[in-house]
Amino acid sequence: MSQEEKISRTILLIEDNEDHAEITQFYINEYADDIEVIWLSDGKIAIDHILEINGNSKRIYPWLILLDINLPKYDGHEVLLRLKSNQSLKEIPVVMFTTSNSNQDIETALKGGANSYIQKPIEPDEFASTIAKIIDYWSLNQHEIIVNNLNHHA
Amino acid sequence: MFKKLKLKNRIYTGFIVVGLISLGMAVISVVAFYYANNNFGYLVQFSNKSHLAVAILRDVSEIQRQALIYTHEGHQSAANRVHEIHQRISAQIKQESQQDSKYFQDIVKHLDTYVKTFKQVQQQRTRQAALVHSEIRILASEAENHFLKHIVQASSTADIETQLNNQRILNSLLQIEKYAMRYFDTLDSKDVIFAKNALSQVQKSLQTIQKQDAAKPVSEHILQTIQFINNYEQVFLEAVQRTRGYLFLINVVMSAEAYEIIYRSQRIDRQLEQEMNKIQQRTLSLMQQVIIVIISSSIIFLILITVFSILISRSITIPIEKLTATFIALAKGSRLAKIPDYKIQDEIGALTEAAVVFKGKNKQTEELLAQSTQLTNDLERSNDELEQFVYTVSHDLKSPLVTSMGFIGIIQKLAAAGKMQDAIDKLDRVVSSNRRMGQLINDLLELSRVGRIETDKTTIDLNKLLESFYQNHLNQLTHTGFTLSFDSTLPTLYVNESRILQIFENLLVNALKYAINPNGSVINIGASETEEHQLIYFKDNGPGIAKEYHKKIFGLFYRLNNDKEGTGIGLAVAAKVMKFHNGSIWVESEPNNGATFWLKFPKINKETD
Repeated sequence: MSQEEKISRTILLIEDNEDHAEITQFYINEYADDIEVIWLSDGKIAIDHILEINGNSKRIYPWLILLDINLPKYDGHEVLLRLKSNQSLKEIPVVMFTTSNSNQDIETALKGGANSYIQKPIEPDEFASTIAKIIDYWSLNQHEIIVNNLNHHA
Repeated sequence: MFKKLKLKNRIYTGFIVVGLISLGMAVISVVAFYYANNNFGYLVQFSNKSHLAVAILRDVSEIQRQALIYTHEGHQSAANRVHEIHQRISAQIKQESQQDSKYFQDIVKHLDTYVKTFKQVQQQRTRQAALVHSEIRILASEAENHFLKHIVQASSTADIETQLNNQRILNSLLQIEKYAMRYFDTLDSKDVIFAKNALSQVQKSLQTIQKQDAAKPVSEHILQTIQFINNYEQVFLEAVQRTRGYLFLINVVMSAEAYEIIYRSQRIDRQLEQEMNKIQQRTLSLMQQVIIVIISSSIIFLILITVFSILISRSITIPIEKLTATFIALAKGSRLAKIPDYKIQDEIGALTEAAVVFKGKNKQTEELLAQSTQLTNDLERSNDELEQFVYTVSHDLKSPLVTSMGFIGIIQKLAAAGKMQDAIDKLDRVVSSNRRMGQLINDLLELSRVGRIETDKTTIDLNKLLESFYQNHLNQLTHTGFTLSFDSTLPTLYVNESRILQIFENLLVNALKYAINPNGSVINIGASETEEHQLIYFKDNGPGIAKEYHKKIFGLFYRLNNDKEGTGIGLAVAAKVMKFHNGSIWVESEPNNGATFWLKFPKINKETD
């Protein structure tokens, strides 16, 4: 069970900045090399990808979604809205991961159903520890629930 | 009717008109009473005449009475009284009514006749009195004396019968005298007959005596007696004759005259009475008319004064009321308060001018308020924009910082792990990230300059501008395989040359990045115009832009594709430049059908700019 669980950990990284995506992926894999990171460079591509999973018979949902806000085409808020308004997808945990620290963005995201809102840290150590905390938190608290719920829906 | 007068003059006019109306009433009253008074004058005149007529009536009866007294008594005083009254009446008539009345003249005439006749009566009366009082008495006493002498003479010879006869004759003689005297005393004509009878009897008796004694010589005394008796008869008859004459004058002529006078006096009196009645009637109706005229004119004047007062007071109060309403509205801050039309230079006029000034101030205040509201709104919008700008800038500046720091962290870890080549590879990423940050800062500075250096507008020939633009980018165009063309009839614009050039630069940079057509990229610049605007277009034949991004692309840091180089500031700068030229920029495009960027400039006469 535990082995199977570890293999299935997939993070969807929705991020338009190639550099940020590379840095984020580096720190995720440095902390947990078993996590598969899938990078999607704009909101539309991300939504298309998730809807494709939903349409697929296997329905292997991502373990976690890291969502930037400033995105081309669909921005982070719109992606969040589309995810949380979909019955099948709304249980997938979404962590807003952005450089923005504006109150308006934070409020909109939390109201929109974001499970967490985290600013991209500038300090490299802080960046690493933040990523570690996110992974730990979702490993400990939310994973079982999500799996159960998904199984139930299935 | 008073609206053209000054306030003061209006009030003066009011008082003057009221005064004039009062004067008019007084004049009407005076005229009315003058007429009434005239009639009273007539009445007095007539009354005097009437009194005169009555006095004449009274005096005429007095004259009659006096004349009768004179006739009977023969008193000279009565005669004098007649003349006295006559003179008085004549004088009064002359004095009172010399001007008119035939009747009064007739009365004078008849009175004169009356008095003339009375003078004749006086003469007759005097003569008669002379006859009666002296001749008749003398003749009678002579006759008696002679006959007495005869009796005495004959008494010796005469028989008794003769003596008795003589005695009878003597008695008759005495009776004749008695009758005659009684007649003249009482004027009873029976006494004349008695006297005549007695006379003829005496004469007969005496003739008988004369004949009886034919033989004898007739007594001289008898003859004497006969002689005196005959004389007596003659004188008596004359006296009777005269008496009857003046009695005729008195009783017939003078009575007739007196009657005429009385008749005329009565006529005058009656006539006067009628005329007085008429005048009384006339006066009465005149007085009624006067009263009616005075009352009706009073009512008319009262109405006039009331109407006039109302007009005057309305002409004063209505502008004041209007002005008051205006001031109340103005005091409430109204800018649209209607100011009454009042052109006269008086107190209300001054207030009206004050209201105009007040209104002007209200207008100014409101305009200032609107300006301040506008300013506040502008400032708030500016603040919002600034906030948005700061947020966007901080975000976009933080992004390369995150990148470079992130890579530095990675490099540290790679270096610590001994993977030096990997670490060195990552250094390029840090450099490009920092370069990008520098580029961002430069572009932001550029954006912040737009609007600060906007004064130096000039008239530029767009053809010349684009010709040099084309030459400057010729290498770039050739290298990227783009074709750029522009119409040769482009207009001249009154703009800031470097800013407009910057727009074309940015549009070109975008086009080179995004508007690539595999069959040959073509850019065309042209112009069109409307009545108020000059339009310039920049058209490419690239893949086009979806409608949902038509507005977003002009926002700060907005980029359609992050694969391409760029900071997302170029179109934001273009929009800002067009805004400062009071124009605008927008895009028309459909996917796979190219994009056309439109620049709209207002047509401004540069002299007035």
